[in-house]
Amino acid sequence: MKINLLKSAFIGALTFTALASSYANAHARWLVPSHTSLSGDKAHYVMIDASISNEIFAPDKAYRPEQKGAEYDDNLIMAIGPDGKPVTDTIRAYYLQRKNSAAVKLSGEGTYHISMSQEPRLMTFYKDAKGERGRVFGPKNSKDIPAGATDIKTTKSIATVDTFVSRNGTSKPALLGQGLEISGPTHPNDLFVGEQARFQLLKDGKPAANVELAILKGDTRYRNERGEVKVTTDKDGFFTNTWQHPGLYLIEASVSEDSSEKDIDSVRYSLFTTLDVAPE
Amino acid sequence: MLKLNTLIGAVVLFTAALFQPNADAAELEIELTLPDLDVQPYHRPYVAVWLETPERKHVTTVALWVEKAEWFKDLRQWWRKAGKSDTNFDGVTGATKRPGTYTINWNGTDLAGKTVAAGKYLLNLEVVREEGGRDYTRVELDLNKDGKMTIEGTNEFSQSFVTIKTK
Repeated sequence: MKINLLKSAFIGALTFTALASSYANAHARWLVPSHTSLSGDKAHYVMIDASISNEIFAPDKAYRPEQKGAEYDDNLIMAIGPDGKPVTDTIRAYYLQRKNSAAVKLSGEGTYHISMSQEPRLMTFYKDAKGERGRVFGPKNSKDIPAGATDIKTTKSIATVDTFVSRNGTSKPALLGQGLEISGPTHPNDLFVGEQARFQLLKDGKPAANVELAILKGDTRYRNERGEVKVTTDKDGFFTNTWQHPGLYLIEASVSEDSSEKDIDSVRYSLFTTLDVAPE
Repeated sequence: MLKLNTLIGAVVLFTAALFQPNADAAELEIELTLPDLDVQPYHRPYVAVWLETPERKHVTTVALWVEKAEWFKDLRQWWRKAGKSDTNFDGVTGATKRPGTYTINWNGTDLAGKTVAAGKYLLNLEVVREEGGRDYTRVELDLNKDGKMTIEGTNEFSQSFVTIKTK
């Protein structure tokens, strides 16, 4: 089930994401859920941490508030419930210097697809009159681009930073429908060591063929080798992986391509999905 | 003396709720031993015993010793296979038990009372103890053949046995 995020209620300043963009684009970023499997009758909360950090999953930099002193952002993190609809309870992401943290209330039964808000960002590169390169956040007609600039190229970035949490059983997770994302057949909350998972990579809801993904086990601080495993999706967008160790994993991918959209030269999609793998 | 935990509605120990006589059904008698561990504090473990097809699809839960549904998820292998919100486990739910040897009888039917066809299955056992460890094992069973199988002991459960009685 797809959700058109641009139509949902992300109106108002994206207080946290704007200033972080340049830093964020150069670094890994990810969510860490406190739980991926919950059971019991009462509603549960899952804590979601978000950070921009190349050290997986140690927080390094939070998404910064645009307004000085803003303590939280209610639009930073979103969740689609097992019913396919966005969670209506406020998801308040507090700014904690190194990370942003939010509690998401889960009252439905099944799988929640939790992600950072996916507002596409525009970045325009140019050469000024002196021939020096520059860039601005914004479209081609941005007033920040100096007069006489040449070689003006605009890139649209769509990042998916997401994870999955299930309460009282699993259900087919709702698709974001925009950007890169992982879909079944294996359920993202049913991962165990030694078992092979099979996933399909989608781009804007359609199979993404021949895309290279990096599968990276967390706790990079505590080992010397990065230990990334690279896989490439087949012609139908599928890839498999057999988990060697239990723990949290980050699945990363990026796709750059020309854009057919007016005034946009290229699109860059990136993926940062957190998956939890249990011991046998 | 076993103290039954009243948080789980009507607690029925071990045996399935309904008996359906059927010449094709087999029965199981599981002798499960929980070890006496020299730890302080000692928390009685959560235990799940269940049957799967050889393709690891849940057929039925035979025993479930856990005080609260909150902790179902800690029996990870059981929960992933059996955990659906609309399944009623009341018939097989019991309180956690102290160290000792227990007999669990299965009369050959699933949670809906339907007879389980004779054939090959996987008997799964999972034991998890708060502030302690977790052990999980599964053994292949053929419900067409009488027999007694040994389940090798680990830290969280001692050597145990399952006897298959065809009818």
